[in-house]
Amino acid sequence: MLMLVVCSCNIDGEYEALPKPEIRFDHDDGIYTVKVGGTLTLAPDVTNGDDARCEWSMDGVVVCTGRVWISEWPEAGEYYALFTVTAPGGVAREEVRIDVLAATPPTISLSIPPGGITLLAGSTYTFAPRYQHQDMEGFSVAWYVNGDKAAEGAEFGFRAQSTGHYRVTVEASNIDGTTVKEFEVTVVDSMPSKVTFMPLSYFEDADVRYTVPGRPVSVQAISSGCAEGDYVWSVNGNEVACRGSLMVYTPEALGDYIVKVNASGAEAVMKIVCVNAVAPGPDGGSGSEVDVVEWVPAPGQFIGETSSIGGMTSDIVTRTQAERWATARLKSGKFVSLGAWGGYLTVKFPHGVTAGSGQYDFAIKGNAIDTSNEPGIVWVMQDVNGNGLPDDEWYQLRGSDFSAVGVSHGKAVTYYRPGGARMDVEWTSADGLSGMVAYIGGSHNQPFYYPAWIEPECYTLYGTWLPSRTVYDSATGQWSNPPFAWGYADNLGSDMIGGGDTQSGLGQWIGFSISNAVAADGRSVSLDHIDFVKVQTGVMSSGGRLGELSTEVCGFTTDFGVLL
Amino acid sequence: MEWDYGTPEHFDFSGRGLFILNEGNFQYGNATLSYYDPERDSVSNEVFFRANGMKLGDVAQSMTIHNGLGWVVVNHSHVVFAIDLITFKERGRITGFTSPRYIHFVDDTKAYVTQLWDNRIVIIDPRRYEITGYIDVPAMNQTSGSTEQMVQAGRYVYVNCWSYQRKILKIDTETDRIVDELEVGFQPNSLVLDCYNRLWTITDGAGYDAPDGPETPALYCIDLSDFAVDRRFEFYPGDTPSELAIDGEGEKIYWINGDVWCMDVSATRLPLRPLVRSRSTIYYGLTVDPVSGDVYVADAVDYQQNGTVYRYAPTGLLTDRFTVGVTPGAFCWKLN
Repeated sequence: MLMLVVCSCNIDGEYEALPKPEIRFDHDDGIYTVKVGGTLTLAPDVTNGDDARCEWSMDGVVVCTGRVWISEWPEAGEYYALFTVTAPGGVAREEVRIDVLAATPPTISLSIPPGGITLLAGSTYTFAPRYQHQDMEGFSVAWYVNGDKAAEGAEFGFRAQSTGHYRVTVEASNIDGTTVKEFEVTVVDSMPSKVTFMPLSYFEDADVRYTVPGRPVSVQAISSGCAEGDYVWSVNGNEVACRGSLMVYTPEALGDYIVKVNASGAEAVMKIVCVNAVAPGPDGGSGSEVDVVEWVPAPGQFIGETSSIGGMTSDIVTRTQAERWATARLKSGKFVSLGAWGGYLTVKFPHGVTAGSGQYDFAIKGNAIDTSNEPGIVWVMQDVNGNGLPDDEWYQLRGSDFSAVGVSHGKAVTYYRPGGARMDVEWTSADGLSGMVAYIGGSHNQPFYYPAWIEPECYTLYGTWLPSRTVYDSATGQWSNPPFAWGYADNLGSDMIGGGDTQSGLGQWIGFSISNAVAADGRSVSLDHIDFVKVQTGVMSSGGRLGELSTEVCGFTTDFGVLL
Repeated sequence: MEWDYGTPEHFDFSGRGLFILNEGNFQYGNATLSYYDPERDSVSNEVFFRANGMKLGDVAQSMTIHNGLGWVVVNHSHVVFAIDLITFKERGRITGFTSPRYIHFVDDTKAYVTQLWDNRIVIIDPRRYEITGYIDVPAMNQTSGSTEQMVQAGRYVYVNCWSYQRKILKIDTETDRIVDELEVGFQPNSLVLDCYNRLWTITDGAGYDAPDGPETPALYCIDLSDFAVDRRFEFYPGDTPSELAIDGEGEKIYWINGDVWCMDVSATRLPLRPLVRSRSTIYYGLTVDPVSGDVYVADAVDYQQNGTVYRYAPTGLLTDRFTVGVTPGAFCWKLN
C-alpha cells in the first residue's frame, strides 16, 4: 500500500510529519439552535490549521469560505452543514446540525366556563391561566380592564363594585412575541337564575323528545342557582308532584306534551312528542354493519393520533370526516377510542336490534385485558319517530354498579381547549371537581388531544360517572384497572361471550340485553327493539405514563353465530 | 390470525438465516416465529406452529443459538423451547420459570436465564433441559426483580437490570455469583459488547411519575477494565431510545429512538442525523446482519395486525420489506 505522508523539513534537514488539523465546536453535541429569522455565527476552533483553507457546505454546495460562518435562517427546519479544513497536515471534517425553530410566543390557556363569567358586585374572581414558553427571556403578563392596565403578573384578582359588562384582556409576552386573550365578565347585584335541560347529546340538543304511549322520558334540568327540592314542574300547564331537577314523565296517549320547569324564577320549556313507533325494518335486526352517527370523544391520547396505532389523519377536522373515519375503522375491526370520561360513540344498526328471548341481543367488542378494563356505559334508543336520527330518548342499560356507592347519574364535565400544542387538557365538573387529561408526549405526539371537529373553545359532556378502580403498585410500577362485574363495554365482566375470547386475537365481545334498559330514575323500560346504541366512557381516571382511562370499541354485532 | 396449517410440515432450512420473534399480544397466546432467508429475500411465517403443530405460546421474548439448537424464550408461557435449526421441530423444553426473558450459554453444560418479577437468575443444564440452580440478585425481591440481557467477556457475564432498576451486574461464571455491580441511569434496557471490550447500554430515563422523579435517557459506555462508566451521552427528555444492537465487527452500535440511529463506538458525540427515519412506523425491534452489515428493523404497526420488517443496506437504503407476525420484537441470526 502506498501511503502519502505530508512532511516538512526542519532546520536540521530532517523530515517530520505535519500534524493533522483538528476541529472543535463550542457545542459538544454538534447541534445549534436558532429562531426563525435569526442569525447564527459558527466559529469553530481549528488547531494545526496554519495556512489552512476552511469551507462550509450544505448538501454539497459551498455556502462560506472561511472559518467563521455568519448565516441567517428564514425558515424553520432541520439543516446540516459540513465544515472542512484543508491544511498542509491533512483534511479534517465535522458536521453540525442547525435546528431552526419556529418563534414561540407565550400561549394562554384560560378556562372560561360555558356562558362566560358572571360575578356579584364586590366579589373577587382570580384568573390563573396556564402559560407556555414562560421560561423564555422577557416573559411578562399584563392585565387590562376595559382597556386600562389593571395589574401585572401571571394571575389576576378581578373585582368590581359597579354592575355591568367588563372587557378583560390578558397580554403575555416574551422575546418571541405577544399573545392576547380577551373575554367578558358580567358583574351583577344578584346572581341571575337560569335553567336549561340536559341535551340528548352534543349534536342533538333540541328541547324535544320523542316517545310512545306508556314509555317514560327523562327530563333533567340544569341550574346553578336552584336547590334540589325547589324545582317546580308542569306538563301542559298542570303542575306535577316532582320537585327535583330530574323529572321522569310517561305520556299515556298520543300528542304533544309541553314540559315546563321553574328554577328559582327562571323557566325552561321542552316538548315531548308521543307518537306511534315506526316499525323495525324487514330484516328484523341482524348483522355487524353499523354506521357511526355521532362520535364525540372526550380529549384523550388517541384523539387525533396519526401514528399507525391511532390511525387518524390530520385532515379529520369536521364531524362528517370524523364519523366517516370511525365507521370505516369499526368495519376493519380496529378500535375507536372514546377519550376520557363522557366521550361517546353512537352507532345506528341499519336493520335495528330486536329484543329477543335469549340472554343477549347485541354485543360490543372491546380490547380489555385482565389488568386494563376501561368500562363504557351502554345506552340504547329506538327511532320512534322514524327519521333516522338519534333524537328520540336514550335509555341506559343497567350494569352491575348502576346503584352502587359513588356512582353519579347526570354528571356534567366540561373540557377546555388548551391555548397551545402539547398541553394537558383541563376539565371541570358541574359539581366542583376539576383535573387534567394529561399530555403524554413520547407516546402520543399529536399536537392536541382535544377533538379537532369540536369547534367551541369548551364543550360539556353528560353521563353516568363510575368511581375509578385504578390501582398503582409502587413496588412494581404497574398500573391496573380491575373489571366491574357486568354490564359495561371494554370490560372483562361475567358477560364476556364465550368463543370471542382473548386467545384468538379478536378481542373480547361483551353481550348486552335490551331488557336492562332503564330510565334515568332507574325504572325499567320495555323496548321491543332499538335502532341506536351509544357507548360512553364511564370512568375519569389516569394511569400515570399510560395516560387517561378511555373506553375503546372495536365493533358491534347482533350476529352471535360469528362469535361462537 | 388463522391457524389453518393442519398437520406438521417438514422444513429443511439449511444455511444462513434470520429468525424473527413475534411477541404477539400479552395474554393472547398468539406469539409466532418467522424465518427469513437473506440470500433469497424470502420469509416463512409461523414456522414453529407449522413444524410442531402447536402454538409457540404467549409473548415470544428472545432467542439464542447454541450448539446447533435454537433456544426460544417464551416469556408469559414460562417456557424455553429448544428447536432444531433446520426443521424447527422441538428438541426439548425447560419449564419452571417465573417470567423468563433471555438465555445466555456459558458453555455446553451451563446457561443462564434472566427473569422478570423474580430476584433470581436461573441456571440450567441444557443437556438435560433442567434447572440446576439460581443466582440470587441482591436488593431485589420477588415483585421488583428484573434481569435482562447478558453478554460475556472472559469469565464474566454482565447483565442489565431493567424494570424499575438501574444497575449492571457482573457474574463470575466459575462461581455463579454476582461479584460486582455498577449503577447507571433508570432502567437500562439493552446491552452489547464492542470490539474494544466495552459494554454499551441505553437507559430509559424516567417521567414525572417515576419513583425518583424525571431523568433524561442516556447512552452509556462502560470500560470493563475497571467496570466504570467511560462515557455518557444524554438524549433529550421525552426521547425513548432502546433496542441497542451492534454490527459483526463490534465497531458500530445501532438503536431505535423513533428513528434508527447508528454511531461509531469511537465517536465522541451522538450522531446528528438518523440512519433510517420513521414514517408513521412503530419501530420495535432491531438487528444488524453480522456478515453484511445490513440493518433490519421491525415495525409493530399498531400492535394488533401483522408487523413488517424493513431491511436496509448499511448506507440506509431500503432493499427489502416483508410481513411477519404480530408485534415483531426480537431477532436471532443463524450463521450457517
